Amino acid sequence: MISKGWVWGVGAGLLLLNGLALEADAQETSERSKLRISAYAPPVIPHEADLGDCLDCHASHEVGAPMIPHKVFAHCRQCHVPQSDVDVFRANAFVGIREPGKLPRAHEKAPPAVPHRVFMRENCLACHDPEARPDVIHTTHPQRMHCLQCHVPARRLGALDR
Amino acid sequence: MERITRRDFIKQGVFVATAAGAILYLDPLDVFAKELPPAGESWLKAPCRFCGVGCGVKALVKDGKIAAVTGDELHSVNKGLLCIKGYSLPGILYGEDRLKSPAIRKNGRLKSASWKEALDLVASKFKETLQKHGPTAVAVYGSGQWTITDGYTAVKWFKGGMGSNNVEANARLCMASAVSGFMTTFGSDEPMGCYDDFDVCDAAVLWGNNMAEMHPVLFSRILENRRQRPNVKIVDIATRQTPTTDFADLSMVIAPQTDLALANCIAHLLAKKGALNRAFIEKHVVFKKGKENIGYGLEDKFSFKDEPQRVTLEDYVKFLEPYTPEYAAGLCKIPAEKIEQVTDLYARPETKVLSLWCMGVNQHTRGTWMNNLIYNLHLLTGKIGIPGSTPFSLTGQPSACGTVREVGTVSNRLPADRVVTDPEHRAVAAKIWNVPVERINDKPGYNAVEMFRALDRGDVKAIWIQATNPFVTLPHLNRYRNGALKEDRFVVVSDVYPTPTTETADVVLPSAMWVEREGMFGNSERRTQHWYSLVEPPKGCLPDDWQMIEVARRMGYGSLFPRDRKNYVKELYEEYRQFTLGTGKDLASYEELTKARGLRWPVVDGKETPWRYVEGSDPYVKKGEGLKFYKNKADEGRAVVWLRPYEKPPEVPDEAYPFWLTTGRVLEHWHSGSITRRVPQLHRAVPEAYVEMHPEDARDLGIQESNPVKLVSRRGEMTVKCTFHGKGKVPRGTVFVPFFDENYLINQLTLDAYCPISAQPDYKKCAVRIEKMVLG
Repeated sequence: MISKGWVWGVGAGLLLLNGLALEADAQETSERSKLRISAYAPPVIPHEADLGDCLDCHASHEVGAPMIPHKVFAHCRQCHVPQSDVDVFRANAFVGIREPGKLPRAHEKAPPAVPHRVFMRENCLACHDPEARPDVIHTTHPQRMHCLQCHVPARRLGALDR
Repeated sequence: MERITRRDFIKQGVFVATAAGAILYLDPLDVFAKELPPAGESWLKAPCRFCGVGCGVKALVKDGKIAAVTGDELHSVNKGLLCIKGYSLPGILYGEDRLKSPAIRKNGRLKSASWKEALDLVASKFKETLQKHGPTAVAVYGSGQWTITDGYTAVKWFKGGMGSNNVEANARLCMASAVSGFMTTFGSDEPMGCYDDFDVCDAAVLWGNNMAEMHPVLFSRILENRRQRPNVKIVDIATRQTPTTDFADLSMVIAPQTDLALANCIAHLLAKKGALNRAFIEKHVVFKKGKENIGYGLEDKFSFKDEPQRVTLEDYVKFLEPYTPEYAAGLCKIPAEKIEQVTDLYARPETKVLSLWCMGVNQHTRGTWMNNLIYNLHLLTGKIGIPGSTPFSLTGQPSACGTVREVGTVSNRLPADRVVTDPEHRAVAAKIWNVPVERINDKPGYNAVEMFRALDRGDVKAIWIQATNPFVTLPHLNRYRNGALKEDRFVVVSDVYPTPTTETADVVLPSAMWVEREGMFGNSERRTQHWYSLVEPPKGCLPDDWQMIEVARRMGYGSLFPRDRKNYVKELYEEYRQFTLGTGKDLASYEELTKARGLRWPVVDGKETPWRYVEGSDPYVKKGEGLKFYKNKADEGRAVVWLRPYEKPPEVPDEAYPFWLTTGRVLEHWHSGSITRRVPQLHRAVPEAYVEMHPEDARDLGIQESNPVKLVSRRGEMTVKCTFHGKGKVPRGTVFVPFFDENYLINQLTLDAYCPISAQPDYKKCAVRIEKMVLG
């Protein structure tokens, strides 16, 4: 027979783990909120906005700025807005979600699936090139080009649940 | 050159990647779609809650909350794109000062109350007002952000229940001139074209429309069209340079009000160059003139009735004679060559021209005339009813079309182009509503400005304001705000956050918003879109329509409305839909709407209509007719070219008030900012209002960047910081102030003059002086 103490212990441990995970979630979403309104939203402009043509820096890895992962839409400021250093107008309780992390593979040797939305991130190498950002997975085979041949997106384009 | 090469490189590179991706998407990867999202997460459809473009979004629902929003890749309006306001949708629901309890003013202060107490009070006050002062003393002032059933409830309750035509909406301030333009030219409201035209036009001529900021997703469709077909031209006609100007091939910064002369000058040149499409005119057009020197609606109880007269093409050409390029160029203060350049676009038979406009043309004391004059250019050249070639009136709000214009939540209208002054129209309404026909008042109620004038005078005693913030947005604000605060006035406000308008209220009712309730919107291209309730509203909040139904029931009008809260949206919508069937404005059934990503009316046998009046697209056009303006029965199915002259605005800069003041919006904020300012990232993007000045005007007054300056008009004054680096660049003699910031109420200065035909006020033109503030 399993003792009551053991059950309580496991329960408390799970709660603690859950709490830690929630805290990690909260921290990550709070970090994220400095960069974007919510997961999947375009990043804000974290620097002064009138430094010239955005593509002077964001069209390649050369300058070290993040490279745009999507087709050029001429009007960058439609989606990307600068941020001044002011207090909020009124507090907002929105938390949202973390961007999804790794997905389980179909089998051990299968290539990993794409855990995030692919729309507006069509140029995989903008982020996953070995020359690109340090904070994302680097591909070992950038020369293959046709990434989606093996790495399938988690969701079909436009899929709705109702 | 290096920059261009690099741009080209990346464009091509990314394009290849996109194309490759698109092929893969053809395979249904539903295995993943079904397995992977953890339980309790789902992506569901809704239209964006902001502007009249009507983008489709997918909202991620997790644990009963909206956790993220993306553009819907398969939605034909936006093809996956959004603007920054759309991406901010998840944030707008969760501002911490969300109104969650009704409040009643007691001893001068708003105190929390129960729904029962609040609704009983509203019902008893409206009933008492109705009994004591009659149906003209009660009013409802709604919104282009009302859902279709919100608007329908208001119309049915007021016009069919209480016998009051005092139903108005803030769309009077933004779309009324578009409606009267459509009605006078085509005999039926709303565009013949659709957004597909944006992808295939050869030229986009923007008449007073800062599209890059106000309709960004549609503007990006035009930019994409030009990227693929580099000969596409964008013409920006405006009274200041804006972010739109940065993308224009031809920029024309004209003096305020002179658009009337410019449009007539283009028509004059078309006639002179022999560019009139005589075969088209012969078949599809009649000519009319109306009254001139028609006034400005500045006096209380102003009224106007046009007296149209048929004239001939020859009369019209003679009318155009004075509008020479020299005359127009002098008035507009632009080189005459620019007028020739834009005329060429309309003149060349093979060039497909898309004319676009919104607030610059509509918020105009001659707004109806300006709408008529743009239609003239298309009717004279036959550039209408051809994909890519059409006039297209853009809308500001998500359901200005679907609710205010189609349902008819304005003082003179009934659903589907009907009016209260027509006995047959009243009979149709009475039949569908199952009320005695005498119940429907045959006299139009007050238009929006007159409604608030009547509230100030005391002719309106009880008003219910929903989903709008008039005590930030009305022109000549001080008069109307003070009027609402007078003794013996009863003001009810339904909203989601505290605003300067809720501050004036006797009763505040907390509303459910966007996907917290079921609803439908209708966008600029006649697309009706449905969404289900996706999350629960905060406890204590109710949808606007249900709030009205509860009060109507308490007043004895319960039999007009459904009782079942589960299905009431469907019931109301299906009843409203009866008004539209067989009229050419036929709406889709409820079932069809729930399944589609919106459908463009007329929807007949489940099939939508991309182009109205065009054979093969519009089921109401008979075989062999080709193109038919069949709604304008009074003119044998023809459209009207109107003789509308240039007339001066009511207030022009003089020695005492030497500057033009023009007002408007910014991309990041929605209207008066009460929703968008609560999203921290949007607030930080544009944290406060400013006045744009020309650096030389500022230098003459000793004013520098960021100095506070006092703006003074004959009606009010306001102090705000000056900038030379705002969103736009004003010409000398003009200043611009955005109206989103409730801490800087620029409408204290604006003039409440309006177009006599549409009753839409002009927020773009009044005279101010500028005083330098002494620092310290």
